Amino acid sequence: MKRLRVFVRENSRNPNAIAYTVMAIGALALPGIVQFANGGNGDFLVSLAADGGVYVLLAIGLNVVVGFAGLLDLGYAAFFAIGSYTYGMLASAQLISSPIHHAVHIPFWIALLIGMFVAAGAGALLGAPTLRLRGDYLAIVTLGFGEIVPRFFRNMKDWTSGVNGISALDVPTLPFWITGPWASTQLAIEHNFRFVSFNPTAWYVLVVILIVISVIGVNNLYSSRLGRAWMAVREDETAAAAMGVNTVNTKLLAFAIGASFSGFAGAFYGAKLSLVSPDSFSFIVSITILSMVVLGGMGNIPGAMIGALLLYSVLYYFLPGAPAQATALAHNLGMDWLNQSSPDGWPGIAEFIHRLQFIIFGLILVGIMLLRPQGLLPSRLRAQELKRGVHDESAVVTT
Amino acid sequence: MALLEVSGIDVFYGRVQAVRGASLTVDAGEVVALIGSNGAGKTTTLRTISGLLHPAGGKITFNGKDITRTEPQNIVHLGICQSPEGRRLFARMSVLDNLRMGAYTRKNAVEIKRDMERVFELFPRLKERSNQIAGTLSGGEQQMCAMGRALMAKPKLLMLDEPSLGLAPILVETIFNIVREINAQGTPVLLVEQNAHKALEVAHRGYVLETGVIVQTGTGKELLESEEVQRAYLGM
Repeated sequence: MKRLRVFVRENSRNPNAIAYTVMAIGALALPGIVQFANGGNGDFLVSLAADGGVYVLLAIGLNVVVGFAGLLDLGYAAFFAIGSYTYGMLASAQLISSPIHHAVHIPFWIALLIGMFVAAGAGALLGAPTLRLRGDYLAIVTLGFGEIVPRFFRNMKDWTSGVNGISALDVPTLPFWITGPWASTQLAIEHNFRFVSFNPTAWYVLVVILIVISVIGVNNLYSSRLGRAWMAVREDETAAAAMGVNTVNTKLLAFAIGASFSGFAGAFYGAKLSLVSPDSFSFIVSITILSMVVLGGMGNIPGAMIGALLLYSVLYYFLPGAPAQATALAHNLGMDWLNQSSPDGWPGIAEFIHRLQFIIFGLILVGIMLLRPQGLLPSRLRAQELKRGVHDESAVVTT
Repeated sequence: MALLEVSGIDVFYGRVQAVRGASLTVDAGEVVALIGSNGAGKTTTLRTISGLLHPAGGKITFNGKDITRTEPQNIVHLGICQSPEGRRLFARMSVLDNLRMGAYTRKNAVEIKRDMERVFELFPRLKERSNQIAGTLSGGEQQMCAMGRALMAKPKLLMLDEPSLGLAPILVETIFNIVREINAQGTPVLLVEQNAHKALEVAHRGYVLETGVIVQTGTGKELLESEEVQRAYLGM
């Protein structure tokens, strides 16, 4: 008890500790709260939250590449696609129509790991020829990679069904020691060892577990020797080499490990949606994830997570709901005329707000970056730097 | 056999030759100063030794091993570490993490901890600031951090590039005292300096570099008393 009190006192002023605590409590309470608030009909919100978890995973992964190692990656969705397609092909009837004429049904948990390794391998494969490039040049190459990969899947019709994508993916099954006689549909666990695909709570729990595992893993990486090497390479590649860091391998590992999280996320995404199509991995996905990382606080793990949660809820909850809200508000204020479209071009407030969606989104982004240029929850060191200013000659002397 | 033997290296930047047939040696336990004016090729020589540049001709051996074409990270493994010109700290990492990066090639946690204590003894300021990020340190503290970082590699040869550059006179004094102290603890030092007077005072031996050619060599005392050196570098 005393140790707990000391622990609490030591961490009560640490923003990261607070952020983790709030997120953990929020994650536990969320399904109950939304069900209660919607009178038991909150399933769609829990499902939405589970989808948001995918973005949290992606932001955690991209943060490794962009935040830790300082490699600007504009094509991160490519790895997400690779993870999803790996799961799609390995856990559905898809491969019957492929040249091997045999369906492959690898259990979710193993396919999850395979997706992770395949994505990591793709990261290394992209990294190997390109990591001699720096800054903007690397960004352009990753941009190209991000465009190529979905197109590649679209054109590999024999294997991926092209534009139609892969559908009817396997749902995760649980190991027998979880699905004993105590299993029930209330717990979203069926006796036949399957997730009930329409029960979002199970998906939600699964994604929370994946996030917790990822956060623990990435926190260990952050404070490891490799984590320091990433940051050293980010700060000054030449000096890092002079300290004995193999800069090429270090950057390659950043790419591969960063990509592996999106392999994770991709497999979950494919399984939950039960559909993988090339349109889900467009450039805008890469940019959204990057915005989440930058907005939340580049280089800080809980920052990236909060950025992901915030942007996701704005994009997929508040903005889609805004037209209906505006209509209701106008009605309550007795200004129903606002809801009618008029011949002089006024489309009605719902349609008006709907059209403004992305302007509102853009304004939110600009506003946050103006108010908190270091991100919502910056890493401690970055906050210090922006506050005190850095006098550093080495930043000017480049090779 | 000398610890470090540089024999007749030619180094080019593109088509411009920066170093012409320079030879120098550093023996165990020595402080060797490499002096010369701006653009004489001092830093180029150091960068070549540490593997960031490769010579077009000539040979570099360290501990009897040919390192002429070895990559920088492998040279660090062999025991040559430098505190580079302009210090090149990892500006957005804490002082402690900068020092830890110095020990990147080492595995023994106990020894690393002991050397960390030693660096903090040499530079008490670094201990006070260990959690501050390196970019916010003052110039003198940054230099201390850079030297401490190089020491953390437990080098068999420490190379310092312009450690006094841009520092207040009192700090210059401190830095050179620390160079002496480091050497007294057994680490040979190759020192590149524009502040010839200070460098030669500390050095056992020195080399004078002029437009890429070594024009004079001798003990620190000899060079301090040499007329040409006095005229050209000491302003006497």
